[in-house]
Amino acid sequence: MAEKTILLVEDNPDDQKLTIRALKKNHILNEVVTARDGVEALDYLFGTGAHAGRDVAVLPAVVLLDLKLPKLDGLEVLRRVRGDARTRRLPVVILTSSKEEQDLIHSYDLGANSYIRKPVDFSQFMEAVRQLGLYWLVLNEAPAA
Amino acid sequence: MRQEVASRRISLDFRLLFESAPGRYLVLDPELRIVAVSDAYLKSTMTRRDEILGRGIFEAFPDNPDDPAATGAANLRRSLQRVLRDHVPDAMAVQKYDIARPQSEGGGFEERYWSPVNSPVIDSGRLVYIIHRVDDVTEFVRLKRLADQPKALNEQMHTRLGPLEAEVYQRAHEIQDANARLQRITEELRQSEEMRRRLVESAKEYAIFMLDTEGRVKTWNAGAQKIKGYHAQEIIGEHFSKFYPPQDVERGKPSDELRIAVAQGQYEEDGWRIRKDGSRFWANVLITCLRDADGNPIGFSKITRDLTDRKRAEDAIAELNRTLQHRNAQLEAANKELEAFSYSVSHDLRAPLRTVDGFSQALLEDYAGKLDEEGQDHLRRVRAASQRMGQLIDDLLNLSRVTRAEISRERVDLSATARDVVKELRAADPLRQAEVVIADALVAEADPRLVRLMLTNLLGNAWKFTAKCPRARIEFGRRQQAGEEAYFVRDNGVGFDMAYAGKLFGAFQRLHGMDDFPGTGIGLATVQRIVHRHGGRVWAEAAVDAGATFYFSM
Repeated sequence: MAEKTILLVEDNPDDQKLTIRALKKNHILNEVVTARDGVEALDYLFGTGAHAGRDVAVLPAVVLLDLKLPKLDGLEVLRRVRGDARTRRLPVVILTSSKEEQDLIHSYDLGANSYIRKPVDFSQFMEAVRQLGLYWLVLNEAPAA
Repeated sequence: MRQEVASRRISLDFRLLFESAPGRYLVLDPELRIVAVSDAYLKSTMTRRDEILGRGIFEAFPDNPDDPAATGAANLRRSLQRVLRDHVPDAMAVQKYDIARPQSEGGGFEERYWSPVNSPVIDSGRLVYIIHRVDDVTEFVRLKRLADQPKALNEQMHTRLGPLEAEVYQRAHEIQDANARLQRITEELRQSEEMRRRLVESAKEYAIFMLDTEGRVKTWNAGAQKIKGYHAQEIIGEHFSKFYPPQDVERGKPSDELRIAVAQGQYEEDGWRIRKDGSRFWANVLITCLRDADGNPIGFSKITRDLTDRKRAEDAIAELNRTLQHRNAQLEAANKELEAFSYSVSHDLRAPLRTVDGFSQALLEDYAGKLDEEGQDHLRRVRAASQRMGQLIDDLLNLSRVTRAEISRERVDLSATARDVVKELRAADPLRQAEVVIADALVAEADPRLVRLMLTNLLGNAWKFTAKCPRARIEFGRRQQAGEEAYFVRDNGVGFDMAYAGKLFGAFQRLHGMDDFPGTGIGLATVQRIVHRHGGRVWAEAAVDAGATFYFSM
């Protein structure tokens, strides 16, 4: 499973760096591909734009998706991922600052697999990322692509 | 005794008495058939009872066919008809009514003058008979004629006049009675008319006046003067279009209203009218067409009320409503803005804090060797501060959510919720020893999410402020307190000075140092808002180092 990538969709470079650090600290060694907005994320998944020519049959093990994003927001990315046969079953974990109920409800309605609110306390964040990696990269059996 | 008298009365022969009475009486039924007659009447009219009983009166007593000027039957018929209609006695003037002479006495007609009175006999409101009583005044009339002749005959007249005078006297009385009756009716009419006139004249809040068929003012009352400002003498005879705004007069509105009143009987509207001084007032106007007995219009009555004050009040209310609607829209927009603001606070204010905390931790981990103990302590303080601010933001969001959220009441098991909250507290702090007593079966009609948030705050406080007690005890229950059923959360922790109780429920108010007991000072403000939104109240009792009890009703 180690060869599978993790797609991190996050526009805040600090949060990118901290998330990658938390993954590393937890010995999750999968390659992390970062997308800084919703359009980049879809380009990667569907082999378009900057990622034209990428083998789209190779899907990431999990997508860590922020909700508040430039250009195309996280909920819209999720809608398109679930609307495409190639990515319909792709595990998507919402990783966001918001705990507004409407965000939670919308995310699950659109087919999010998990919803995690980023804590301010980095120690708690480390713990969250550890569990997340353990679950989605080790325990969870993803359907064959 | 009495019985004897009664039976004797019954045995009286009324028929004999009637027929023998000294007056001339004829009794008719409502069809004017003769049903009884006195002997005196028979004698005067030279008839026999068996000849006339059962016959119609005009059949029994026809007019003299040889007198083309005879009016007897016609006048008698009119008088009888009046009695039939009005059920009151009718005295006729002296009437020539000739009587047929029996064949045995030569036939033909004999000239006679009569003074008749026709009286109804009423039984249970129904006319059953008419008594036709006459006096034969032929002699009197003849003598009156003689009076115009030479003096010699005066003697004869005087001697024969005596008995007639009594009759004349009686007739005069009857005419006097009739006159008095007429006067009484006229007086009643006059009084009722006077009352009506005074009523109209004294009505101050209503302009009540008459118009002729052309629309010219014919009468004026006090209300009209008060409302419109004109005196009677300056407005009577003027056209009523004076009361209308010029633009209404121009389009012929006043005459249109009269036309509608003629066609439909009435015209009513609310509209602007003009006073004498030119100011306008909001009027309720009712124009009624008046007609004569044949239905021809003979004028109009017009009633006008001044509704300016009411109109003004209604306009003010309408204006107020518009303002309110506008304010409401503004408030809704402000609420939406606030929601958007809360949303970005939740997102954007937390992100930098994560950076501060995350990289401080990274420094501590990666550069521990290059930082002395003081440097590391500084970084730990940076982390603690950012975490506290994170907590502050979360609490503030909760507080604003409590205010914004729709309350959905359902049956909530408070005991179960409290046990759940305590379980979480124990899990987060497994080393704490505390005795927690929760009363069973406490239920309330409340919003379950908000109730949970409230109990989390109250039990969390109790948990926090008993941290330094060797034998911490926390209790949740219900009791009668200050005259009402109240729930309570009690602890035996550090308590507080009641002098500061007023500050307890304000946001950001803290009664303890951050070093002793960490907190944001928003928890109790949130509790109060939740209780208030449920229509209840919350209060506290405490003493320093003697624990605290928080009561709330729902």
